[in-house]
Amino acid sequence: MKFIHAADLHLDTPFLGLKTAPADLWEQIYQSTFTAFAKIIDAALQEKVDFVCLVGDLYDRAERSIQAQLFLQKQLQRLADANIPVYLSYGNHDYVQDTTAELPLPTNVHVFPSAGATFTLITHDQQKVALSGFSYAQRWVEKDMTPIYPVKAAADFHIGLLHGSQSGVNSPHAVYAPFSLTELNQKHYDYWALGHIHQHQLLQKQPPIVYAGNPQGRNPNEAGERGYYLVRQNGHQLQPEFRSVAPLQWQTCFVSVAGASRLTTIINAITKALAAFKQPQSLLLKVVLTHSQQLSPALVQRIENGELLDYFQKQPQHQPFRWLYALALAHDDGVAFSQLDQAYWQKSAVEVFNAKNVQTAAQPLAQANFLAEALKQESLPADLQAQAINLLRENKAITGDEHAD
Amino acid sequence: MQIEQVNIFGFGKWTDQQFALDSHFQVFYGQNEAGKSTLSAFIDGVLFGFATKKQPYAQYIPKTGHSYGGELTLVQGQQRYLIRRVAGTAGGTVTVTTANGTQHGEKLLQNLLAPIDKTLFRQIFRFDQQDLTSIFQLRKAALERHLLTVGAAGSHDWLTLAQKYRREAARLYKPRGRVWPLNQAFTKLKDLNAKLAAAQATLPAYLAKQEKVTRQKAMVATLTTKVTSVRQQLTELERLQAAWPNYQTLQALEQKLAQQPQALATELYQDYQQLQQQRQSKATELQQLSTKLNAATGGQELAPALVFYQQHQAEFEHQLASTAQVQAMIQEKQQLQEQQQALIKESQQLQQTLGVTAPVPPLSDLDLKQAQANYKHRQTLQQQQVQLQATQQQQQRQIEQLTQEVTTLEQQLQQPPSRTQRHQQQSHYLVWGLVIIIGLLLPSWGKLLTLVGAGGLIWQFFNNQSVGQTSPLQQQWQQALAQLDQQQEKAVQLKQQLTAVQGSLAAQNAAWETLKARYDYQTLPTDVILNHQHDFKRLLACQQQIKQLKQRQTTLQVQLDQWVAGFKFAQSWVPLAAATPAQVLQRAKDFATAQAAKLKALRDQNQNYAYYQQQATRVQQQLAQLDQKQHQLLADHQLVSEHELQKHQQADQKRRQLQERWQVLHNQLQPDLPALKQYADSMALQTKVTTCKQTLKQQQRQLTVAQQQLTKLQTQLAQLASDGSYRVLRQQVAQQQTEITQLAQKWLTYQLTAQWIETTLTQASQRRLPQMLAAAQQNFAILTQQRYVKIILTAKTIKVVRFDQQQFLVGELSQGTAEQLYVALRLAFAQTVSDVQRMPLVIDDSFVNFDSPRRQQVLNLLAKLSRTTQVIYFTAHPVKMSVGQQTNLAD
Repeated sequence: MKFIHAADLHLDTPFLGLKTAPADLWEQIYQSTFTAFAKIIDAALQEKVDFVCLVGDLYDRAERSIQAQLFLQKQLQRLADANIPVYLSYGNHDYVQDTTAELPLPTNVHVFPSAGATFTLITHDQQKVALSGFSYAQRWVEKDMTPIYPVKAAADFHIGLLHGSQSGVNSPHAVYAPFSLTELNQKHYDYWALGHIHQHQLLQKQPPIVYAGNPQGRNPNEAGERGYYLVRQNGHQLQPEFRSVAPLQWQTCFVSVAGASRLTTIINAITKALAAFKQPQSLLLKVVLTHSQQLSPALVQRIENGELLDYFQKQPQHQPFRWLYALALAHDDGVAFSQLDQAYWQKSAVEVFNAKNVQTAAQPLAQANFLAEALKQESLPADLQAQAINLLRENKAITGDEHAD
Repeated sequence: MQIEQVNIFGFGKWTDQQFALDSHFQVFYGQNEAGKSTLSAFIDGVLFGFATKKQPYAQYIPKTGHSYGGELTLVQGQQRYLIRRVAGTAGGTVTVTTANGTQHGEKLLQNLLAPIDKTLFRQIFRFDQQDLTSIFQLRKAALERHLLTVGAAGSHDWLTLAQKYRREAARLYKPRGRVWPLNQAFTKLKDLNAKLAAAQATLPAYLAKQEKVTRQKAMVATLTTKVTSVRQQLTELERLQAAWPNYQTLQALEQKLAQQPQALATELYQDYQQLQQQRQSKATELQQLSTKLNAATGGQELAPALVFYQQHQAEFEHQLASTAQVQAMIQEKQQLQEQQQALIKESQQLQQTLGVTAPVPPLSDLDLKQAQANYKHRQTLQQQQVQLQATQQQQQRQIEQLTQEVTTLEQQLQQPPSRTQRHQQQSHYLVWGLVIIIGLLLPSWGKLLTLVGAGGLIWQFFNNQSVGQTSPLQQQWQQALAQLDQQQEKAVQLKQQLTAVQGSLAAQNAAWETLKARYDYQTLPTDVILNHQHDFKRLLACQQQIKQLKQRQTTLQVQLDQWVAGFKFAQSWVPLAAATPAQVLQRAKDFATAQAAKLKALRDQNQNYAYYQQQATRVQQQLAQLDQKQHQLLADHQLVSEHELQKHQQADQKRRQLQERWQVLHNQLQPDLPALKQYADSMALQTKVTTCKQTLKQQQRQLTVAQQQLTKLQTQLAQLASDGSYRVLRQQVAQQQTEITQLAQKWLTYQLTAQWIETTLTQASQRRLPQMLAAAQQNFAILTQQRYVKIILTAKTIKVVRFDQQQFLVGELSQGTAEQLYVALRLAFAQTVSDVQRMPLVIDDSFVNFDSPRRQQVLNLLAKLSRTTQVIYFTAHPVKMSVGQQTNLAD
């Protein structure tokens, strides 16, 4: 028995965090969510899997684009042509509101209703597999949905499809069908195919409780390899194996600028670091310049005002792309304020650069959802503090380890 | 720490110059360019490093070629140190020589000065004119802020920076701004979102279009089917059209066939033919016998008539065998003719009698009775009418007589009295009237005369009246009038009776006319109708009889004609033309008898001849039998002659031909026949074809249009599906969001950096101000010559208390007092920091703008401070001072 577990396709999603890119790269970006899914389908056909599970958020929005629908229809048809059934549930992003505005899916596709259902099938090797799941009918499902999953009974293998998040304290995802591992284990399923969290991970090794993650990262927070799980039978157990498909990868790259007093030195260091990437995929890179306290205020200013980033973005680009979308300066040790008031600076930094104060300070910005979301980023206060220090250094209000040459 | 000695090797304008400083209060004075700032910068430079190449204008490299740098002698913690700084990397090379002569590097210097660095020294212990001027130019509110943060190192610079960041932030975004980058970015995002919403609407449009395409496809399919079917129909019709001439021929054939007489059985012809052959052979045999007979006569030429007879003897005998019958028939016919003649004559007479030209049906018994009754009734009514009319006339006459009588009487009665008589009467009245008038005029007794007049008048009147009394004439007139009334009444009655009778009569007449009309008797007189009904019947019977007779005669005539026709073979010997059957009979008989006699004579002469004759007779009989059979055969089939049979045969042949042709055409047309039969003629078919062609054309046009429409829709659908504008827009939105996020972060960085600075300053200041407060109050009191005795600090405000306990906010102070307050606080801060590290206070012509009393107060204060802290005071002019040392730099 063999199947594919994928989730959170987010077809036709725009990429966040990019302000500019060359036309070729844009084209690749537009295609990336599609390409990633097509690769999963390729794998399904090549591996001759028994079925494919798609656990929610196939589309990025409840209102689905024509291109996304046509594409999905076409890809699922490929599976239909190969007699591979598809078990599909909709998630919080593509919750089923109105099916009239939807292109019909091929007959091999089994969509879980919002009230939940269990489908069964017999695999090529004559094993009975039961699949239980549900689809979102609205943006949020605050209820714990695990009670609608039946306990494993007659099937050889029972698989649960669940688009949601682990119930934990203070989780912003708590409104998405919260569950606990204990609840899941009580069902005695052989595999829990989870969706919603975009970072692929195994919540439990055996029986596997797995987030497939999204097959293509779409913002700086979705860095690293992205793909799906190919799940194989191993005796009475199911063994998931992660497979990367994302044609574009987000990465953060650290480059030390220790001792650099000229921009060219920094450029060379970065160029060297970029050349070290050997992946066949295109990379969207954020370069963090470490030891930046050693840079002169003038250099800091040239970096902070975007001159360096501009330089790299203007370099001729070719496949596979190594696209620098951001440059940041990082300080490795304390900042040298006058010793007399050092303690006060540190103390007030704590007061100023914290989430609550940032929120308060940001209030005058008429906040759209995306911005509110961005301003809730955990790393933001620290980032802002780093930027504040850069700003002070630019204005020579504080000194770094600068050495005159 | 105090500076005891300054030894300059080369620094700006100073070369090889030594100054010994007072360890408490050292004043350097000199005009501009005297070297005050250079000396101040030298002290600064040796302690914290010379300016690097990056700040070339802050460098004081001597133009004269003397070595750059110099020495300071410091006392720190009872220890004396010699600090030497000369040109070198990063601010110059430092050598620190302790009292015991050991030399150290920069590290020791930093330790000696810690925690004061170059910045802090400048911020805390150096006062220069520029610095103070900028503070004093602040508006009151800002000044207060500066006052409050004066307890933090470099608070003025920091606050300026914080303000700069606030300004930078405001240049990025203002809550109600428009032109600022972040505001504009928000606006742009809004526009993009609107566009996106519009682009999003393409999905329903796509689905709708897809639906349309499906419908259009169905429509095209329907139209295609229709066109195909119409095209088939047209092909069918055109085939029918091509077949139409044949169909017409077929119909004509059918008509002809229908007109053809009934076919006769084929056997008939065969039988007849057989008989004919037999007859032929017998005839041949007879011919041979005739030859033999001729031979037997010994070459004696026989009369052609005899030869003919000889050959046809049997026929003659056969024909003549029915002589009796024929004669009977002739006779019967004659009798019939006579009867017919008689009947015709009778009919004619009857018609004449009745006055009709054709036989008229008699009345039925019921109608006859009715007619008779009707007639009687009418008679009676007419009589009544006549009587009544007579009576009426009589009556009329009587009435006339009476009327005349009445008129006469009336004339007599109405004769008026004579003119004289009337005149007399009138004059009597006049006389009596005059008497009355005269009486009235007379005196009293005379008035009696009036009474006499009146009495006379009354008498006259009564006399006149009595003349109108009833006379015998009048009685007579009245009687006549009464009689006239009676007669007129009778006349009315009569008239009524007459009318009734006339009504009945009219009704009866109408009934009679109806009856007449029913029997077509209109022209007949009533008498004939009522009294000659038997004649009507007879006439009808005559006619019927005549008809019967005619029929019988015809039958007889046919039989006779047939019989006569039997002599056709002997036409040349027995003339048939224009001969009656009787004549034919006679002639045939005569001929046969004559020839038979001749033949008998001949037979008697020759034995052989007799034999042959016998044989011939036998053959002739046989021939006759055959003829008979032939006749019978024809008769059995209602045929009169062989000719007729031949005609029949020809007809049958033609019929067969027609039939064959019909069959061929019918086979050919068989499948189309039902369709062809639907059309009356080729025109109808043509019309149908035209209609069909038009329909086809129309539908083809519709199909073309529908197909074009479909193609168009499919293209549009494909365009919608491939239209990337939606994703491009979404990506643009994402980019714009990124842009906004980054701008917002930048904005936040500015804001938070400013906040950080302010918070730090406030905190540092808040912490130090209480410690500073006592010194500050003292300083302020000295500076204001005890006018202000107290400073009250809160987190947000500074208040000062005047000697009269009156409190003032900073804003309420005069500019000069506020400046004094700042100086008091700044000096207090330096004093406070001096608890940690006692550095010399370097005052660089700072109070140049103070008026001289105030400047003096400052000097007094500095003199006081110099007790604990070395004060190095640079100024343009010598000052009055009680302590310390003044050095003129110009020397």
